[in-house]
Amino acid sequence: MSVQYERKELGGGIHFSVILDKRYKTNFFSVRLITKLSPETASANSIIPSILSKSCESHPSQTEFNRMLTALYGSTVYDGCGKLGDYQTLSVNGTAIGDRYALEGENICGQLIDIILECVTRPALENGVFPEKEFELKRRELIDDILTEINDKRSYAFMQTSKIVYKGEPAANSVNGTLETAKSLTPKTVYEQYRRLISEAQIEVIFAGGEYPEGAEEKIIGAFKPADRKVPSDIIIAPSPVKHQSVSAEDELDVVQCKMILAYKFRSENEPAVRLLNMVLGATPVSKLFTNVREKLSLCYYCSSSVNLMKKTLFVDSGVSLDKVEAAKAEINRQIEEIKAGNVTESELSAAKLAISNSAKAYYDYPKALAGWYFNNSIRGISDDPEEIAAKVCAVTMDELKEAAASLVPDTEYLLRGLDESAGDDE
Amino acid sequence: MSIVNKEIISNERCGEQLVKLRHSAGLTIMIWKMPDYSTVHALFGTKYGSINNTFKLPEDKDFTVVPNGIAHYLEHKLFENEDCPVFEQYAKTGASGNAYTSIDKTCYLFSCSDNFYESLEILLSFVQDPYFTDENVEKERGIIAQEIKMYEDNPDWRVFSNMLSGMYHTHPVKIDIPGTVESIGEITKELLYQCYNAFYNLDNMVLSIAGNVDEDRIIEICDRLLKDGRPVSPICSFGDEPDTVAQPEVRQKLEVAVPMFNIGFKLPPVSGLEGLRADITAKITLAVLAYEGSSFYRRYYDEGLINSTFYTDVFSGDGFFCPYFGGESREPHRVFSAIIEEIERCKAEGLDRESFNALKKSLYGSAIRELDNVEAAATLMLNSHMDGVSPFDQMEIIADMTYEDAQKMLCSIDTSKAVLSIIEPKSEEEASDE
Repeated sequence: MSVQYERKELGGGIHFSVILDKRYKTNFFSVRLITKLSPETASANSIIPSILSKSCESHPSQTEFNRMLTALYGSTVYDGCGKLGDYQTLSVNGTAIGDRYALEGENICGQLIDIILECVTRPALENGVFPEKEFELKRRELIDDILTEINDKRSYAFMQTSKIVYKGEPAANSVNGTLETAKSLTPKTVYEQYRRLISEAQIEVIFAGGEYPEGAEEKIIGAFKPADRKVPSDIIIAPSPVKHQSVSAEDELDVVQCKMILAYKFRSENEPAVRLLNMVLGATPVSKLFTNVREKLSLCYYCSSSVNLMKKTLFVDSGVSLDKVEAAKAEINRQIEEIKAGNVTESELSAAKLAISNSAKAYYDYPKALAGWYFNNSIRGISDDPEEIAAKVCAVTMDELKEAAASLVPDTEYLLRGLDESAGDDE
Repeated sequence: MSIVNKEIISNERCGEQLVKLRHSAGLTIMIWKMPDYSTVHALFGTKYGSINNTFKLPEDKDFTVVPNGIAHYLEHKLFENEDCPVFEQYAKTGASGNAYTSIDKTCYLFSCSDNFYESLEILLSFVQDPYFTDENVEKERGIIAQEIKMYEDNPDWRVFSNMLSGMYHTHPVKIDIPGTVESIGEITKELLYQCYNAFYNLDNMVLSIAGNVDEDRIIEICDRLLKDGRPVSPICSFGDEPDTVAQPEVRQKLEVAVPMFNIGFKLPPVSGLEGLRADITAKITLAVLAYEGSSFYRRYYDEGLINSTFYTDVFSGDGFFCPYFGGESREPHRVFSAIIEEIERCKAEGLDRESFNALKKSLYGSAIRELDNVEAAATLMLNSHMDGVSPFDQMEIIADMTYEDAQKMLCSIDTSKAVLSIIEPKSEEEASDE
C-alpha cells in the first residue's frame, strides 16, 4: 500500500495522526474529543460540536461562516457525536478538495485546518459564553433529535436494546441525553462544560488526504497549548458483564414491520475469532443468517449480526412480521448452535475470510473511512492496520471459531412490536 | 465478436481520462483506469426501472402494461441462478455483490480487491442467464412484501414518494419502485421473461468499471461471455401527463415526532445534455435561494420554522423534472408559503449574485469529490451514459454556467404547480412537546 500512517503524541493527552496518499483528491481534517459518557453531561456534550461547527471567532455569524466555506470550493465543516464503548466522542470535521484542483491557486488545505482549529478553540462568544440565540436554536434541535429518535425504527430498536443490555453502565446512555437534560441546558452551563472538555478530554486530531498538511502540528500545538492542559486519564476498556439471567423486553408502536434484536455477550478473549464468528454468522450475504433465515426460510426481510468489541457484545438485528417472530428467533439460535457444533462448511469459512480481506483493502481507498478505522483502533491501543487485522482473522482455526461461538451468552431479546399488520393510513 | 468502436474521453480540468468501447454484441463498456486504487467497482446496468411498466416492441401493435414493481422483482430474481445463488458465487471470489432498482435503471454491481476478473465473469454470466420458475417466483414474493412494508414505515421515503404521487397524474414515477403487496401478487414467471427479453438486451445495457484493471482482459472476457442477440428497442409510454399537479397537498400520519415535509415544483421535463444542464442549473438556483448562507435560511432558521434538516434537491429523468425542498418543521404550511414568497421575491429582485458565484465554486468542488473513489467514478460513468451525456459534462456545465442561467431557471418555476407533502405524527402530543 502507498498509504503512510503516523500517530504522534503532542503532549497533554493530544495525539495527531496523519494518513497520507497522493491518490486522494480530497483532504479530511478532524478534531475529536473523547470523554466518559454520563447521563449528567451527555446532552451538554452533544450540543457542543453542533455549536462549534457553525461559526468561529473570526466568522461569528453562521451565514457568513457558511458563505466562506461555500466559496472555499464547497468545503464542509460538520459535527459528530458518537458512542465508543463507555465513551462519548465529539468531533468537528472538515473536508475540502486538494490544493491541486484549486482554480485560483488557493491553499485550501491550510485554510481548512485553520478554520477547524479556530472553531474548536476560539468559538464565537457573546458576553463570555455561547451566543444566546445560536445556542437556543441548537438546544431546540437537540430536543428535536431526541424526539425524532423514533423515526428510524431500526436504530430506535437498537437504542432501546442498548439501554437494557448495558443497564447500569455508561454505554446504556443515549449520546443525546434525555429530554429533561436537554431542556435544562443554558449557554453558561454548556460553555463551562466546553471549557472542561478543552482542558481535560482526550484529544485526537486526524488528517487524511493527498498532500502533507504543512505546519499542521505547530498549529495544533498553538491552538490547544498541550503544556497547559491537565493530562486526561487513560481510556479504560470495560467489557459489559454477563447477566445472570437473560432479559426479554418489548415496545409497541404503530409500525408495519416488527424489529427484533437479540443480544449476546461473549467471554472469548480471542478477538480475531469473534470477528470471524460475526462474519460467518451474519455479516455477509452468504452468512448463515442471510442464507437460512432470510433466503431459505423467508422469515425476515433483513437479518444480520454486528459486534461491539469494546463491550464484548454481539447483536442480531432483524426486520420481521409479527407472525414470524418466534420462528425467526428459533432459527437464529439454531444457527448459533450450528457454529458451536462446528457445522460450518469450508466454503462458509473461506467466504467469511475473503470478505474480511476484501473489506480491509477497501479501507485504503476512502480517506475518511481509513481515518475512522485508525481512530477506533488506536483508542483501544491497537496499532494494526486493516490488512494486519484481516491477516489475524484469516489465521483463525475452526476450533477457535467454535470456542468463540460457545462463549456467547444470551443477554437480551428485544422486540419493537407493530400494533397490527395493516398499513399506515393515507389521507 | 469484439470491439467495434473505441473512444477516449478526457478532461483537462481534472486531468482524468476514461475509455468508452462499443462491443459487437451491442454492449457499451466504460473503463476508468485508476491504477493506485485497491478496489475495483463494476456495474452492469440496464435502462429499465420502475417507470417502464407500459411498453411495446417495434413490431407490436399495442402496449403491454405489466404490474407495478416488476423491474425490482426481476432484479431480485436474477440473483437466483439455477446452479448456485449469485451471492454464493461471489463468496468464492471475495467480492461484495449487490443490485438496485431505481426509477429508470436496474444495476448489478460488485466491489472487490482481489479476483476481479473471476467476479466479472460471474456478473456477466448471471445477468445474461435468467432462471425463473413458478416456485422460485413465488418464494420471492414474501421477501419483497417484507421490503415493501419496511418502506411503508420509512418517513423519509414516504414524504418524498407522496410528493411525487401528488405531482403526477399518469407518469409512473408516482408509483413506488417495489410496487405494492397487491401488485407484486400479479407477477408471474411469464411476465418476468417478457420484461427481461424486452429490456435486458445488450444494446440497452452498459458495463461500467473503475479501478486498477486491464482493458484487454476485460475485452477478452466480454468476447467470451457476451451473448449475441438481436437488438431490441422497447418503446415505453409514460401516459399523457398534463402540466398541472394531480393533488397540491398530500398528508400521511406515521410514527414520527416532528412533522416532515417535501415541497416540489413541476417543471417541463428535459433530456440529454440539456436535461443535465437544467438539472444542475436548478440545483444551484435552489441552493442560492435557500442554502445555509442565504438570508432566507437565516431568517427562518432563527425563527425556528426550519432546522438543520432543511435541504434542497432536484429529481429529474425521463418525463419528469421536479426541484424540491425538504426537512422537518412544526409548521409545514408556513414553510410552503415562505418558499413561494421567496421564489416570487427573487424573480422580481434577482438572485443574490455573490451567493451564485460561491455556489458555483462549491458545485465544482462537489464534482471533484465525486471522482475520489472507484464506486463514485463507475457510477458516474454508468449514469452519464444512460442519460446520453459524457461523465465530464457536469464539470464543464458548472464552469460555463452564468448568473443569468440561474435567474432564467428561477423564472421558469411556476409556483401554482407546487405540491406540499407532509408526514404528520400519529400523536399530536409528540409534535407539540416543548
